[in-house]
Amino acid sequence: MLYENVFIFSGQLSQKAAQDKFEEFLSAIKDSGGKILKNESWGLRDLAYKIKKNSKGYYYMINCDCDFKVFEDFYVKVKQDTNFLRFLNVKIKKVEKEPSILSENKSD
Amino acid sequence: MRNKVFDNTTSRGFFSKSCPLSVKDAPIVDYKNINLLRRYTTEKGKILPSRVTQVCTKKQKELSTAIKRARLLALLPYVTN
Repeated sequence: MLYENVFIFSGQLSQKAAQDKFEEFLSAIKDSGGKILKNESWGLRDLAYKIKKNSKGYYYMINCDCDFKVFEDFYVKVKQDTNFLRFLNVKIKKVEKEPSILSENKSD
Repeated sequence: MRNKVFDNTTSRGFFSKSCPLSVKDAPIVDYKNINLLRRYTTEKGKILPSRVTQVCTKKQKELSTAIKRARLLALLPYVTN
């Protein structure tokens, strides 16, 4: 099953700390035998409204082919983390080859 | 001549009659496409009704899910004062 995931980490973290937290999730997918098809960073963005007293957040997006069980385990762990603001998980039919509109690397 | 021009306009004024999101090369309705979604919300952040924007039912449904996803991710506001 193909999934698209977006995560928001607190803007109070350093870029490196946010990246580390994101990679923790990537390795969780790999460990369970899933495939990562696309992963991109949207960088530090202003939030439209405050979440947990944060007005900025690091956005990361990932497209993967894996079991839903991986997400369930990860979300339970991550919901206790105050630096983890939001996530969105949607099913997709296909992976787009080009970087998405919000991607940081799009202009490069 | 003037009358002919007048006859061609419908009661809808300059709004196009067909759905702007169903035409060829129409922009993709997606929660990541914020600039598009922003055009279909009011200043306060409400979703515009399709009778105003002329969007067809199918695309209106897609728009509304896309806007709601974008709101969850704080890409669009729920309300602005």
